[in-house]
Amino acid sequence: MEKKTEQQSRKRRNRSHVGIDRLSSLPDRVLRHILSFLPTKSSVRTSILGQRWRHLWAYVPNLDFDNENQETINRVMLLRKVQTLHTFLLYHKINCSPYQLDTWVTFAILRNVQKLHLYFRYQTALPRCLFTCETLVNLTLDSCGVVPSSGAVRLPRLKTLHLSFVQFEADESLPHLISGCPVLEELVMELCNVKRLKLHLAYDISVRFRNLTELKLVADYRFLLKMLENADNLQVLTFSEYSNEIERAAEPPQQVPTCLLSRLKMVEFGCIAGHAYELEVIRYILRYSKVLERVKIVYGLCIGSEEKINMLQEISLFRRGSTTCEVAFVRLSID
Amino acid sequence: MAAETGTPTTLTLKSNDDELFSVAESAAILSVTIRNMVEDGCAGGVIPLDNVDGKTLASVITYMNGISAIPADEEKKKSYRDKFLSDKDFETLADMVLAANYLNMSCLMDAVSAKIAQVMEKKSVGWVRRKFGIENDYTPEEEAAVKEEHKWTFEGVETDDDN
Repeated sequence: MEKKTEQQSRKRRNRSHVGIDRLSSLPDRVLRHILSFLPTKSSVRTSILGQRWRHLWAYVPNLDFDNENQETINRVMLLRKVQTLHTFLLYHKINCSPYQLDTWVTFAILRNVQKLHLYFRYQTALPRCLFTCETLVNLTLDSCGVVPSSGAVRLPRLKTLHLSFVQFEADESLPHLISGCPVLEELVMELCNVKRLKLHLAYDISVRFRNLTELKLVADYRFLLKMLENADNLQVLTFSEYSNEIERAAEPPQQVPTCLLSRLKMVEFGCIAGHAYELEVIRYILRYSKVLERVKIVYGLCIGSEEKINMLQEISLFRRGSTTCEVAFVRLSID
Repeated sequence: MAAETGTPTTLTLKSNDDELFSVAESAAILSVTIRNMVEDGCAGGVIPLDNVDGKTLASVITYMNGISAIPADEEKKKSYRDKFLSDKDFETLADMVLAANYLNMSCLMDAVSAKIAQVMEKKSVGWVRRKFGIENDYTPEEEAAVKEEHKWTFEGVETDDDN
């Protein structure tokens, strides 16, 4: 009798944990897949679980380091047992030699890396082979690297490019880089040396961003209009101004940018202050965008309430090229 | 025939505990396993899915319908997946990863794997062994040696044992 109860309760337990008991029957391929979503530190730690897990981490095609020391990173790289490196995320604030950083990046490139995110917190030259990496699909450079203005750029598979606070060797660097990315779909930039871009590049982009559908841009207003002319398929634009040194209005383009006529649906302006040159650009976009659905305008805290009402009234009276376009005003909130 | 007349084709799926489910073919073929059966002409009657129980299959079908109703918009799909998995406990996630593996559904597989990884990352060794059904087959000496070998992975790590 007692035995039967025990059997029944075991049966019940098995039933409620049937997935769990079978998890250990998953093929290594699936377990490696689960491990590939962990930071490398946690992935290597699973070697303690049991014999089967001892070397599983070494076959995971990803590396994701968050401020590990140099010896640790090198050790893990040497102990890996798989040739391919699909994803390499290196967040490294600890000082180390440019030579070491160069070695790590080259290591990834030689292993056909597809997704590469680098954050070093200080500028360093990147290995030249980064710019001719044929396997790269997704690249983020944050606070590191210098984008060269000459030499080969050939990134035939690159779809996503994020550049945050990188240095540009010269004004031509950005167009030069983009010209080597024929299938780029997403470009996100946070610019730190916007001055140079604003003065020269803003009027000198000869590269077209044909596949670009979504753009988050931090730059000045003149650069914004230039970008619109070169991004025929742009649908979603998030813009905030980097520098407020420019008091001059941006010159409207000679022809209405193609994206305004048939593509651009959503625009967000981050933190406007109410300057005439800001309103001019908003007026232009509202006037000529034919399929615009929504414009969100975030205004700053520095605007007085009367000034604000006047500004909002003025904007809401701007002619709209799209009858269905709604305009939302949102006060900047500080979280 | 149905495809020619423009009527959406419906498939009938059978779980390993004999529950039957109707699902639009267009949603069901997110599973490469099912798609192959459809393409091979084996989907005429009932499609038996021997490795998935009714409760899990119902959940997978909810996912299939939900995600295939979203047009090509990766961000919306991602937020649907996040929401879909947000209230699932570890046992359910375990069932889902097994089902996604069997049904060969890469998008569900990725989302569930990521969620499992997220859950296990902060858990103790004991918790993970228990939840994954892993038998500790190290001798104490071996275990100590492995721990020593990768001691950096245990430094500064806080784990818990909660469910």
